[in-house]
Amino acid sequence: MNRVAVTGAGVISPIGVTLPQFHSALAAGRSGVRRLPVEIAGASGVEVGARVEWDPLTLLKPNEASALDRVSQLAIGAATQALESSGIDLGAADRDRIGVYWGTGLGGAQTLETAYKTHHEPGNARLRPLTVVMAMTNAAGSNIAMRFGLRGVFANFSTACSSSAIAIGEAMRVIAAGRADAVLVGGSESLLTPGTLAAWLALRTLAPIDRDDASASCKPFDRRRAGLVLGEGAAAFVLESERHAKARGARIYGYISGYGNTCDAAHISRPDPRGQARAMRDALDEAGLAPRDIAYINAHGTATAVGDTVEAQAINAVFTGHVADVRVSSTKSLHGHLLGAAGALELAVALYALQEGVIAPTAFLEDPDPACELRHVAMKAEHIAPPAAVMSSSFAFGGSNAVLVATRA
Amino acid sequence: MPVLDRLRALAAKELSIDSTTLDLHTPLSALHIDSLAFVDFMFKVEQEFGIRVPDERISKMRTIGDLERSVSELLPASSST
Repeated sequence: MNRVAVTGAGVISPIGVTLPQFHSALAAGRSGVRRLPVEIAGASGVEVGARVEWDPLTLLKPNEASALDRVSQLAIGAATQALESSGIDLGAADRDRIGVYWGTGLGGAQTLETAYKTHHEPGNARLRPLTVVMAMTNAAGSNIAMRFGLRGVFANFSTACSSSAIAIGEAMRVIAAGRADAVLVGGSESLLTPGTLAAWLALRTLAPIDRDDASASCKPFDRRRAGLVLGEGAAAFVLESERHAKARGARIYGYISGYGNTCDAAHISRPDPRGQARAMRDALDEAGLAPRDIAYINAHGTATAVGDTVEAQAINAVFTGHVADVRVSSTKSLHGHLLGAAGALELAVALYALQEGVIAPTAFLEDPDPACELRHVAMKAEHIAPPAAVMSSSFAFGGSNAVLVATRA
Repeated sequence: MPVLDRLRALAAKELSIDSTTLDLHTPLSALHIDSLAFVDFMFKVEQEFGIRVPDERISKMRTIGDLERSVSELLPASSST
């Protein structure tokens, strides 16, 4: 089996639209959660979210941008960064051996909402002819493949909040099996539209705005937590077989060494600690590691009452005897919940810990819930010697659990 | 501004092409877009001129001249220049 290296990374997030900006916000514990302007929130009743401040026209021609939903624009933005940082020469590479595995939860939400709105307007039933191909869930992955001519393995996973973690884990497997030299992986999401926000509000999982400080609205693991804050953005990586990476002298950020993928098969929205624990154990097994080898877990930590408690139970079950040693944080307090892109963005957080020893904090965690007893990295980043192994967990509606383990060497 | 000049400006803006060489005899293939993208471009044309071009007319267009003629005919008289 080939070892699978991370050789490139890119992010377009609410706390930075380049990797250095993202790292600096993580280290400073700077939140990108804000009050949503009325043109975004509409009449949804949702007051807070984590938006990306990025102009797609810095990268795309107007006609290119106009033919892409924002979820694809963000995808291409992050993918461009990842490919550039990998130093891979696409002109010289065998692009039949380079693929794209992407993750999106909702796909082209902005396109769909615009189309439905137009359709329901009296006397104006004509929709843009590109509506279907802009809105379809796999558009983001396909647009990356087309832009860079990546003709190898392809899949666009949609498993809600674990979509991009599954894309990364499955890409690791396909490279390890020798079916591709490299795969551009990651995820993107962009669903801050009035209709989608209203639907999320109806689910009763969104945090109300913090009246004193909107940026502090998401408080994972805190007794005062009241739900998640929706975000948008994208994160991408170049995963590459170690052999291929070393042959071209690539810089190796770390290795994807373990991946666990399970389904609770219990409830469509209520998580089950047993399914989560099995995914964590499977990821450790594949990496050949014991719980004590993991220095840091980037938790799913959405800040819902049930979700955080269940995740703490699962971590306690897997890390029995080592819970006091393994640092845990949920950076959704800073960048919001990127849903289909969350697993990829949070792998970027875990890789930052792996490379630099900077453990980004659970911001606004002032009063830890005793039901979530863990070694929290709360309020402020912790600086440690770069560790050997880290974990990133993504637990989705639908009971889909995906856990990634990354190692330094 | 004459209709053709406005169409040239719109093509340059929306399709990122050099539209200075477009004239009434230029085939629509010179826009380097497929048929779906052309229909999408027609939405921009309709917005620009405040008109509605019937689908059957769009499907019969072959040249920039066909496009220019349709727009000119549908324009209210006061805004044709």
